[in-house]
Amino acid sequence: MLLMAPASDLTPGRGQDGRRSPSRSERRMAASLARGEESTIREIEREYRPMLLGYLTALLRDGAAAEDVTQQVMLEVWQRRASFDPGRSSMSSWMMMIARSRAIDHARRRRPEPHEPAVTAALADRADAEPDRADELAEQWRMAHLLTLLPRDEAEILRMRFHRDLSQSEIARATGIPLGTVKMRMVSALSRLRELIESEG
Amino acid sequence: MRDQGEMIDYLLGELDELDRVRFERSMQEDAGLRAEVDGMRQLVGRLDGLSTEAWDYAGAHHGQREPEPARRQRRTWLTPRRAGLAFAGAAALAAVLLVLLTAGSSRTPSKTVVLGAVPGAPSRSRATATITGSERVQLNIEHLTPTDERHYYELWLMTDTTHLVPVASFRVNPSGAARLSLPLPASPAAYRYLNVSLQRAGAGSAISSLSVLRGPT
Repeated sequence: MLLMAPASDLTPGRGQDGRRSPSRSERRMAASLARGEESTIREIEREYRPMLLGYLTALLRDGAAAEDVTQQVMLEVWQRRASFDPGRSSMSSWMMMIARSRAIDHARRRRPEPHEPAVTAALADRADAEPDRADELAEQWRMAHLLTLLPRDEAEILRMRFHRDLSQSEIARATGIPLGTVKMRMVSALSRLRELIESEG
Repeated sequence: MRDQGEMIDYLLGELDELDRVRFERSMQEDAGLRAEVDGMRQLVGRLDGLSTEAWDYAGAHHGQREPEPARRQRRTWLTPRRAGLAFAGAAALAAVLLVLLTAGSSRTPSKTVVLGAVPGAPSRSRATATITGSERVQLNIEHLTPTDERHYYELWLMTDTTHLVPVASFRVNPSGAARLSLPLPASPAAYRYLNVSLQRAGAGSAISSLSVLRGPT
C-alpha cells in the first residue's frame, strides 16, 4: 500500500542535518503528488480525511463546519502540492498545519453569535484561546494518526492501558496474553511511537 | 541501556514500593536515565490525555470496533453537576423503559413537530420532536452549538416563563447532533411550546434568558 506501509520496515528517521529521512513510501507519495496524479490525492484523502475531520470537529465543535473546512484543506493540499517536502514534515503534519490555519480563520470569521452576556463572555474567552486549543488538539490528532502506524497488537495494548485505564496485569487477564508478552508489547509500542514522534519533528 | 520495561512500569505506576524507591535512587545518580525517563514521561502524558474520539479514530483504523467497557474514570469527570445530569439521564431512561414495558402492544397516536431556531440563535439549528400521546417525546437535534463544561441544554414544555415545566437536561457533542427519547412530565396539550434553552451550570434551575429552539406542541 502506498501510504500506509508497515512502520516496522518503513519508519522514517531524521538525518544529521536535522531533516527528516522520509520512508520510501513517503518519497514515492510526495513525487506522485508533485506530478499531480489524481489517484494520489484520492488516496491521501482516503487516508487522512478521518484524521482531519476528527481534529476539525473537535476544534470547531460543529460537524458541518468541520466538513467544510476539511474540504478546504483537501483543496489546498492539491493546490500547494508542489510545496510539500517530506524532508521537512510528514504528510500528516503538513495537512494538520494547513487544517489548523483554516480552522482558526473559520473560527474568527464566524464570531460573534448573539448570546446572553455571560455566554458571550465565555465564547470570547474560548475564541481568544483558540490558537492554543488548536495546537493542543492538533497534537492529539497527530498522535492518534501515529497510533495507526503501529502494529495492531501494539496499538491495542496502548489503547487498553491509556484509554481503558487497565493495568498491564489487567490487560493480561482480559486478553489471556501472558503478562510478559503484554509488557514486551508495551515497551515496543512506546519505543516505536517515540521514534515516530521524533521523526515527525 | 537499562531495562526499558522497568522504566515503563515505573512511569505507569506499576512498580512495587521497594523497586520504585530503588529506581528513583538510580535516577538521582544517572542523568542519562533521568533524561530517558523524562522523554518517555512526556509520551505517556500525551497518551493519557488523548480524547475518546482520537482513540476511536486510531482503533477504527486497526479495525477495532469491539464493544468495550466504559472507560474507568480515573480522571475526575464526575463532578456534582455532571452527576446530577447523569442521574437525570438515567432517570429519564428508566422512565422510558417503564413506559415501554407498560405500554403493551397498543399503539398510541403520535405527531411530529419541528423546532426552529429562535431569533438570535444559530440559524441552522433545528430539531424534530415526535410526541407520542402525552407520554414521551423523541427529539432529534441538528446543528446545535455543542455544549462546553459550563453549559447544558434544557428541554421545556412551556407557554410562557411563568407557565412551564422542565422535561430533561442534555448536552450536545461536537457533531452538534443529539437524539433523545424522553418521558414527558405533563401533557403537552397543556402547554403551547416545546422549548430548548441554553443553561449555565450552577446558575439555578430556572429557565435562562437564552432559548435556542422552539416549536408548537
